[in-house]
Amino acid sequence: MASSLSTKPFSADALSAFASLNSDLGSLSPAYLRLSLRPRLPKRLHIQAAGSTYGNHFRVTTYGESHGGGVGCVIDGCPPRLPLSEADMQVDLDRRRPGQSRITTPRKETDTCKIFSGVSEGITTGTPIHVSVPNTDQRGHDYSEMAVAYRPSHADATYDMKYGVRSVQGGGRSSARETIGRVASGAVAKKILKEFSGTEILAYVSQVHKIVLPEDLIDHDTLTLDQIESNIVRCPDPEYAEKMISAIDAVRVRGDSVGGVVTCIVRNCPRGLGSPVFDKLEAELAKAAMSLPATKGFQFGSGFAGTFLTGSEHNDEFYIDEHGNTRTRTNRSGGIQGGISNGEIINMRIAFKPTSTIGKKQKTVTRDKKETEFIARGRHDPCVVPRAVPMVEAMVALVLVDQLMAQYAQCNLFPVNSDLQEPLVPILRPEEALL
Amino acid sequence: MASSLSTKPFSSTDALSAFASLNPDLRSFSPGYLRLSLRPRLPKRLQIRAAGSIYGNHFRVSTYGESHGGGVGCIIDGCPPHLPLSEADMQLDLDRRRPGQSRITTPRKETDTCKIFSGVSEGLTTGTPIHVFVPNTDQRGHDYTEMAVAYRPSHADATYDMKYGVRSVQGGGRSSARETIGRVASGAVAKKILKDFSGTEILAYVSQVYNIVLPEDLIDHDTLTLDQIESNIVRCPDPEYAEKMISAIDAVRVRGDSVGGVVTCIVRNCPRGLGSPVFDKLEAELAKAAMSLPATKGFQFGSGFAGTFLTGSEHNDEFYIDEHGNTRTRTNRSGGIQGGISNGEIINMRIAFKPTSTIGKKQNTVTRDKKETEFIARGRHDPCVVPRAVPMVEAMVALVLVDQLMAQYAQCNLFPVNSDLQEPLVPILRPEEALL
Repeated sequence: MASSLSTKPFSADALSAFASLNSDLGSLSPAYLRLSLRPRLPKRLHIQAAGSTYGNHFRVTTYGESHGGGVGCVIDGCPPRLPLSEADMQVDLDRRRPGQSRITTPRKETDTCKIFSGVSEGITTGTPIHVSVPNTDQRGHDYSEMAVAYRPSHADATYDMKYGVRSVQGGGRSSARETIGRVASGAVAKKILKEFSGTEILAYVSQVHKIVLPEDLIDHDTLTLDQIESNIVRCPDPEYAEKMISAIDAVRVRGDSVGGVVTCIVRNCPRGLGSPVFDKLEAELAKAAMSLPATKGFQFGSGFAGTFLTGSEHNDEFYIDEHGNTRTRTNRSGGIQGGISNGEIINMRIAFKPTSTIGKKQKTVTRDKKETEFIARGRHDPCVVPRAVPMVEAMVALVLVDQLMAQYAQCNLFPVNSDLQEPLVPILRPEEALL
Repeated sequence: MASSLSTKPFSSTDALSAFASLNPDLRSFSPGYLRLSLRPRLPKRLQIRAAGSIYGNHFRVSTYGESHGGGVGCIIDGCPPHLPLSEADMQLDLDRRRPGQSRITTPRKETDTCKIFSGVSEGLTTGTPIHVFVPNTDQRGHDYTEMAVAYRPSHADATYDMKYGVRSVQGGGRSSARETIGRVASGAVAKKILKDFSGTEILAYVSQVYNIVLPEDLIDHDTLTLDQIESNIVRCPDPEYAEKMISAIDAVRVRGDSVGGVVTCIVRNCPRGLGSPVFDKLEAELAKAAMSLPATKGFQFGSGFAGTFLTGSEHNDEFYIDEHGNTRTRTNRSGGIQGGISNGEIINMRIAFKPTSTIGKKQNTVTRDKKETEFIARGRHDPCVVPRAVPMVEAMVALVLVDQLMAQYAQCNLFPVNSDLQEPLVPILRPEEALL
């Protein structure tokens, strides 16, 4: 499943550049020379890191970086004959887009996606879907000072430690720009889940700095996308949204940053997804969510708060509802028990750290191991959580569609045990499933 | 997907006490030699579990164990639940694979009785990993003493040393054909799933031994039966050629030599649409699976190498519509697979097995400490492996097909199929009807 590391060498252009080298520069390191002579690296220098593929059945490979020609993804294993167009993905890409409000990075990208393969006459063909989004706003000079200084809490240093070569502008593969491929493929996954089982995945901002949205203010049974999108911070409660926006404004004007928490819920998740040992559903969700940039924590259901309870306080009692289905009275299990979904609402929280890039002066070191001071002049988000909302939804969707296909392959091949299981069959009227 | 390499060390007290009694004259010998000579039968816990011992994505099979040590077996992860399954379902094929079943196979005698330790409850699969175990009972360690230092020609002794640097030399370790027990056991489960779901039948037979080549037109792949294959000890469905093959094997056996052969395998009632167009082509998966069996040297399907002598107009399979309205091909040089995907016609393939490496004749070789020597193998071995390879080939083909069936089911059966172009994957209710 691991993808290979590939680095394309410089073309003859690079050689001619060295031919004109002034002898006084001989003592400088080759990397420095290349960077100073060619501040904008050729587009073909794209480092595609191993570990850039996710999923077994619905397999997504993302590629590209902050600079260079563009970013995107390849989706392998998508069910065929699914209606799909760029518009399906563009909605979420626009929600992720930088420069959409004053509290996000001022970098301006239109992030318009294009489908290059895998879709014909508006429907999927079952072959790999290639989605590409070109980079349009590349201000290389914003990053020139970073060429030698390691930005604190960024991946600059570790990236050097691992690959020994990198496109330093904007953070390479560690850039949040890589998430475009996830959001695009996540939109496809959401569509499959919605059409198959009426599954809905909704994420919102539940904390920014010290502003914590009380859990009981949000009804997860009736939460809507419109409520989430009603303000620039993506908090469904208007009062707390204002407080969060003020908190972000306060640090932004000081050139600082803050973190926050994104809550994500899943409604109408099919029962039986996941497995009991290594590939538990919550383990897969944790890996997927924690693979997003700037993440620092994941919890679901009762989470860390549940550690303060006794078993009799924590357990979710079962009951039979009016439709004859087995349900739980409470949902401290967060919709997942023993690694397998039980049909209740899945809920999880993901912690995002304060953005590493800040405008204040910081002490750091350079690549050639000299101590220095550093002031970042690049553009950045003072708080990443508003833009992280569609990213979290995308990762959750990628997990669920993969697990749905796994469950379908293993347990739906022969007639199910109707005493214990519900067959996985596509719904015909999604409205009815919401009753 | 790769499993890890794990080697359990000798228990420190036993090993140390052995060295404590060391005669100073032996100190010039290498530690490996010392351990082997002092303890000709290695402790059971020293079993090398090689990376690369798992096959499949949906129906995942891990095999473990070697020729010696406690036993061999497999773990099947991803098996559909509430499938009726018992040891008897696997024992049938294990008996077909078993050594010592006739005079033309190795005289090593094992009962190879399997036992299911997990994944099955009250006769039904539970969907959790199925553990199948077969104990080793006939272990004559002394048969292999001389091999402890000599590299057997065309065996894996040398390459195994090159890779792992430590090995249980008796019987060839993980390269031993005994490892195939796990494949045959899991293959039997896969066959059952395929049969129950789509009436798929997988039949293999011996089509060549040494220079005795069974003409292709003598066997009708539409009507071939297991009984025909099992009617003789060489597993050739044609009695006349079976006799010739048995004579050829007898002739080399008495001379302490060995011969190879070819196993043909067919698949009837394969669901359409299995496989994918690029890297994971169905024929590519079948080739990998078949060629992973011990002693294999070649794989071809459909027209194979013979098709390279034809023109396109001679080689192409024309399509037609049969009396049931299905798209069929008049000929089957594609071997049932086109563009990496099954088309519903009979899949046919041939697998080449080399002459058994272990022979009774004197051979020149080298030792572990790089000395040239002469070697005469005294261990027990098959003069020709193809009769016992038949159920192994069937097993590998079954493992590929069930995995591809589940992959197809996951990707293309999730939403309603395009009934103009596809057949839905639904379990059959009467397998007899599917054979019409």
